[in-house]
Amino acid sequence: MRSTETRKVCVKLLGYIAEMLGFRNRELNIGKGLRVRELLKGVNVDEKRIIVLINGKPANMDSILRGGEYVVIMPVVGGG
Amino acid sequence: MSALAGLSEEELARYDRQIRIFGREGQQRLKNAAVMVAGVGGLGSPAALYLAAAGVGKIVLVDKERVELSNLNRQILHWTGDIGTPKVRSAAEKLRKLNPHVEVEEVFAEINESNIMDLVKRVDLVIDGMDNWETRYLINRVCVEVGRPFIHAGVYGMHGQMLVIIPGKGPCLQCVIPEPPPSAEVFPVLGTTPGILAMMQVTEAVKILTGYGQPAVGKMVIYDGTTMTFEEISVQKREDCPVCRKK
Repeated sequence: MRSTETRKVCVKLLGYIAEMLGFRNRELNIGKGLRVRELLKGVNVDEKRIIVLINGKPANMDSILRGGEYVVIMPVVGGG
Repeated sequence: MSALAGLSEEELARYDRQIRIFGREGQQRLKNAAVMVAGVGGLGSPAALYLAAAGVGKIVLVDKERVELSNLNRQILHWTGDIGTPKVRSAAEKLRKLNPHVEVEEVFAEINESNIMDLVKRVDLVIDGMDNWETRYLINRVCVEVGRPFIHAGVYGMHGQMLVIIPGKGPCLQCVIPEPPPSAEVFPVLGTTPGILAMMQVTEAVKILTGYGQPAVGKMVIYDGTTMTFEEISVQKREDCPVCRKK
């Protein structure tokens, strides 16, 4: 069984989300695991206008991280 | 070589600096190509301008709107005297003056289910110049279905993203963005933002059409003008994507 020390995720934040949280790239210890939205520590984002990628694939704010993942949370923009 | 017979002395001189990159054969491929610019606004205007300058043989402009004053900070093919003119006409006039070797087709129409298949089948590649996700999803679906590269970009303020979709070779738009985000009628945008994204789109289009370089498949490129940073995000095909699954 893996120890909690090894349960880390790499998090990349982009755009205004990075500005609000104060970091762009960070390795975080997630203990026993947590949902993506817990990474945002209560910061309000418009969930319809962001995308969450876990290891390059779409996920959402309720996806559960168990350690070892690469998480990207970014605004998606649609003007042309 | 017969394949090179199509380039005149004038064209060889016009394209000399880029022929030094991908050769006469690459230039001939551009001349033989047809590209659809879906939307001739902030993204589509600079994209069409550079496609014409590069010598893409046929450019199909599709847009349902007329030029408005508030377009002019970014839609650089439309000038003050063009207000009220269909965007496809305004753009086509300038493109023909820039490069008379390029055939420009004007389609003053909305892109919808009834015309998208015909439009996509007639071209080799599609540039995303849309401002709404519904039409982007429609173009993405049909491009995947008929096997045409689709180069997506979206902008807001001083931010933008680009994704190159080559059917069968990587994720499509809906693999990466499963649900369409809400589209905004009016949004803030600095003119340079769609300009920068459009330059990236045309760079990818020229690479795909000439066969030079490596297309940016499987990665989303993110531009942040507020910090002048570019980020590259690796993206993958999604097994349950409703578009790719049919393929």
